[in-house]
Amino acid sequence: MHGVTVPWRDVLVAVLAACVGIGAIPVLAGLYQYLLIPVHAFRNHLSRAAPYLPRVVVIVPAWNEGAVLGASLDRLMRLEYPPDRLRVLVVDDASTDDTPDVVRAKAAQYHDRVVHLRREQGGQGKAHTLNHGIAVALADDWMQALLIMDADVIYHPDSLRRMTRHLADEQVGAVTAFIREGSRRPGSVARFVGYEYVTAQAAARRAQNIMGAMACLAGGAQLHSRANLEAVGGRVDTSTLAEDTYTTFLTQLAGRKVVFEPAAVVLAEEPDTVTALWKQRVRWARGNVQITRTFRRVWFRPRRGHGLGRFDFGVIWFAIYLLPVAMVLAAVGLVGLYFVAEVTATLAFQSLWWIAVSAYVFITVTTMLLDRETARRSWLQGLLFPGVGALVVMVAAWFPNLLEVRLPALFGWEMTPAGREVWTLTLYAWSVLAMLLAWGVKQLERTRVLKPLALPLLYLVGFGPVLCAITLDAYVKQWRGAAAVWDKTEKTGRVMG
Amino acid sequence: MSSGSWATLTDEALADEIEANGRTERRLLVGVAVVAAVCTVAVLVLHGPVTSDDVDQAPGAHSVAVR
Repeated sequence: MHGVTVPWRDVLVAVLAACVGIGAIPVLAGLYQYLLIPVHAFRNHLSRAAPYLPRVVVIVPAWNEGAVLGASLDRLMRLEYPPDRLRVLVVDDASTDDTPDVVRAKAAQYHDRVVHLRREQGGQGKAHTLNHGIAVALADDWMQALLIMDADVIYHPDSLRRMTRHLADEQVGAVTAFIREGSRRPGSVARFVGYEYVTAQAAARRAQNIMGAMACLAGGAQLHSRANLEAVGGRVDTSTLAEDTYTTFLTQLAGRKVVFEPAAVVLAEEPDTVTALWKQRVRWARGNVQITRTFRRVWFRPRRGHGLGRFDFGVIWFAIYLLPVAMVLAAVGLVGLYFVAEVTATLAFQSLWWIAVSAYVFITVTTMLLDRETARRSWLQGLLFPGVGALVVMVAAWFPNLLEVRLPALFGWEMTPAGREVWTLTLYAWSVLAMLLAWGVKQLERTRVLKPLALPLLYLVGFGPVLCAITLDAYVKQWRGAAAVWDKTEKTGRVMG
Repeated sequence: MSSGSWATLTDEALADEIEANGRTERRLLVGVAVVAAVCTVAVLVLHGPVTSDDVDQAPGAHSVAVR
């Protein structure tokens, strides 16, 4: 037998090139999602919506929400909705602040339309608090639909009736609204979140309407029909950190649709420091790990009754779920190629970032135009969402030699070969470096002396890599079996009234 | 709308609102898609496709020669 010579170098180059290719998948998945949005102009659930004003019970879980609750209840009472068809149950989870006094005052002001439910043994988390209220609501035949909201959110006057009209279609089990970041004087982090919410809700959920598969009912705005609530067991899940996603999946697996209504707008206050954001998003990401495992038999298995098993929905879900892995693989692929096949590395680098620039332009323009109110507030954060560093990488990929040769030449400078090597490797490894620096932003924010550097570093790193780093941290915490506690995100009542 | 304006929410008014929201959605999304597509295509046309010709000018190219 003749020995077969294995072209190990070619195999290695192919593997490394594949790693770079994997790095492009999340970008392509995001682009695909955005390309679905225009279809929503002609294919949306409004054609099946009809005038419908059911008797709605609103559940407001509250733990030390005295600062925000009064305004929220006042706005609920001013909703353009028949007052005799709207009741509010505030489930006070053994608050230690003035929450009980605020609710009692509002109950007196609005008579039997606001009810105070007190849990003397609290602290078990939001899901348990919600279940307390849901059980009370279901015990009374009066309720036809149930709205779950957060204590700090402010509903636009027309938002509830714009949600209920979809429940006229009995195939619809739940409806969610567009949560817009609505702080009165938002800082940089809150402005980034505002822009992110347009991408993750106004954009992504329109695409999910088209696919017939909704990833998540927003925790602060989920309207359920009574039939749906009973079908999913009359309670929300308490075993995971993502009770809203769990209910969303159960609803669809039970054969009912979940609809996103972009014209129903709800304002919410979001974290304005990276530290607070980190805490909130680690909880969300760990919840998503639990959901991915719990519903492992759903992925990539198309079924007639729901769209959760669709191939495209699965690719989008896992593109987000495994985004940190894709970023690491892209960097490993490019750096590896640099040492074994440099010309291929350059071609791969330019191709990867060619796709990234196309996606950046399309996604940024679409996002800005989808919600101009947020665009006015967060245009800078929208433009710098990938980070100044990533924009530099895009320019380097788009205009070869501009930053390495032509720009320095204007000042009579020239990069040394070693400097050029470091520069090239930095460009290739940026997706990983950005995640490391994102962790640095959180650390800087906690220091007293270096704290002012956190914000410039955030803009250098970008918000996307921060979210990526948080997701990676959540995986590590989940893998290590860190205690899964429900940490409340502190709200201060900054939402615009 | 002022307090009590819910009383004007007749089936007819609600149906009109559904239609109006549908029209707004159509106009918004068609407009957004056209502008986003034009911007993206313009950027891509200005740059052109990635070819092996670009590699000679790319960041790594110089260090190939140096090595």
